[in-house]
Amino acid sequence: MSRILLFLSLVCLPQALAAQDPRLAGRLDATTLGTVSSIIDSARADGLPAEPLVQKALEGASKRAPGEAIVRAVRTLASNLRTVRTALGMKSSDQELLAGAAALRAGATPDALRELRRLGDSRNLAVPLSVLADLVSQGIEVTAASRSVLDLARTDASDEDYLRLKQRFDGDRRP
Amino acid sequence: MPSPEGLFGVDGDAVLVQRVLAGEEAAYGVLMGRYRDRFGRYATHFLGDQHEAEDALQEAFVRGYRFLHQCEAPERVGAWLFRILVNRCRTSRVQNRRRSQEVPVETAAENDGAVTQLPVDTGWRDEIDRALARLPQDLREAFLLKHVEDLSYEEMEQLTGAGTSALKMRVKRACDKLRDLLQETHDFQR
Amino acid sequence: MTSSDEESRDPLIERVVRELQKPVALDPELESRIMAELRQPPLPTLGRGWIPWAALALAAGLAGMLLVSYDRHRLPKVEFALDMPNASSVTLVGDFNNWSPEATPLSKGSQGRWATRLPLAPGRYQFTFIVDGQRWVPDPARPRAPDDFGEPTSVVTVIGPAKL
Repeated sequence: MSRILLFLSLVCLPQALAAQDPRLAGRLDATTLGTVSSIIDSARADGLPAEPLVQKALEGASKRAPGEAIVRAVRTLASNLRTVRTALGMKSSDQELLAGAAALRAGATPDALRELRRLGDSRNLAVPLSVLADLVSQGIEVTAASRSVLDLARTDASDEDYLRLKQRFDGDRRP
Repeated sequence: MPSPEGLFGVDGDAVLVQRVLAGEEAAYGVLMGRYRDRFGRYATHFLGDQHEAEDALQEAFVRGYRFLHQCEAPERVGAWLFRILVNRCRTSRVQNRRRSQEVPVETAAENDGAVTQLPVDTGWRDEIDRALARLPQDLREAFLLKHVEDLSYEEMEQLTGAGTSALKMRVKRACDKLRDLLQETHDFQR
Repeated sequence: MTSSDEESRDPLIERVVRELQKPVALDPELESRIMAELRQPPLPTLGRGWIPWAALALAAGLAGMLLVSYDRHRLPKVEFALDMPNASSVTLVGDFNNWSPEATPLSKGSQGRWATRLPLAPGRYQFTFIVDGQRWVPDPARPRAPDDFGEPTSVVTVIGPAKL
């Protein structure tokens, strides 16, 4: 049995090491590094962007978060990226996926993302999604924020229009 | 005033270049230390903004490092780096002009209210900066290279690609223009 | 050779030149910033088309998260600033510098304002300031992002001439 394990470790270890992002190696403990690398590999194999996951892990390491918290955050982000891609479609850009994942993380629903894609058609939705994420993160109620962004999407608004929407909410919130 | 050779060909530069190319990154730090103040002064006067100047300086030194193997005369690496900086400064001006017309960078929106206002200073130095800023780019460049950096026209030709007669004309026009601008507000004859 | 050989400068121009030849104060951290950038792999430049993700993964210096084809020197500069008069150091960490506390020190300006400007490709970036090497401080001028690790995080969305 031990020989089998030794053999497996010799066979698998180089591959595992080869798959690890060198930026993570010095900043995560071995267990966390292995799990995070595996999540990143699977995401990459699914055609999802790996870089946001690497950055999430580095963020956790920089903030001295426990390994479990880092793994949880990276796993959640990978899951959100998958959900966003399902909602927005396989042709979504990495920017859209990341902004969509931020919107989901903030509390937006996959339905809102789907509706945005329907309205925006092939338009790049990275800025609308990013604005949606910011609005919800700032405490705007999810339904109201989604409705505002979707209303704009119905008017074929530009990125600048979405930014103005965010500024309008910022202005409303100022004392 | 040190000679141009002294400015852009400091003893030991070639050795430093060799050390950098051999992988000794710290040697590049020594090179930068030799030229940063002089280059920073030029960039600051040309661009009229310290942040922009530091950005240009950073980009020039980084580009110089990346392409150091292409420096054909390591003993004149200072002149070679300065040429990169002069080009970066020109590009930076063009980009800033273009950007200021575009408006659209989100950062402009994000930074609302955070723009730093320079303190009002009516001193002599401020007058000079304002006058320099009003010079056309090619005149400002020629004036700074000739009078402030004390380069020869031959060196200026190599740096700018313009001919000596054109450069002389630019320097003269720059001086005339500066004189007019500065005498608009003050009588400096006494 | 000196310029006086070829140009006769009047007293006014002499005064201007003397003033302009005085040393200019530069950010003392400039060299360390440059040295930090030298340690990063070079970024792709305009004209090479879209950059494959694998290439971005190799570009360990800046987060390739939202990179599109660009020339670094044409990127918009994004200012990060924090008013912190009593701080002895402020650094910036975020998705653009691998969350490395040493990578991006801010320089102290007038009235205790710490600032730096970074060329950023269009995209959404999370970041935080670290004050005095230990205190995590969000950017009061920018939206907060939900935090996964118990420290405050801000977010900036950059759009540029090339839209996201």
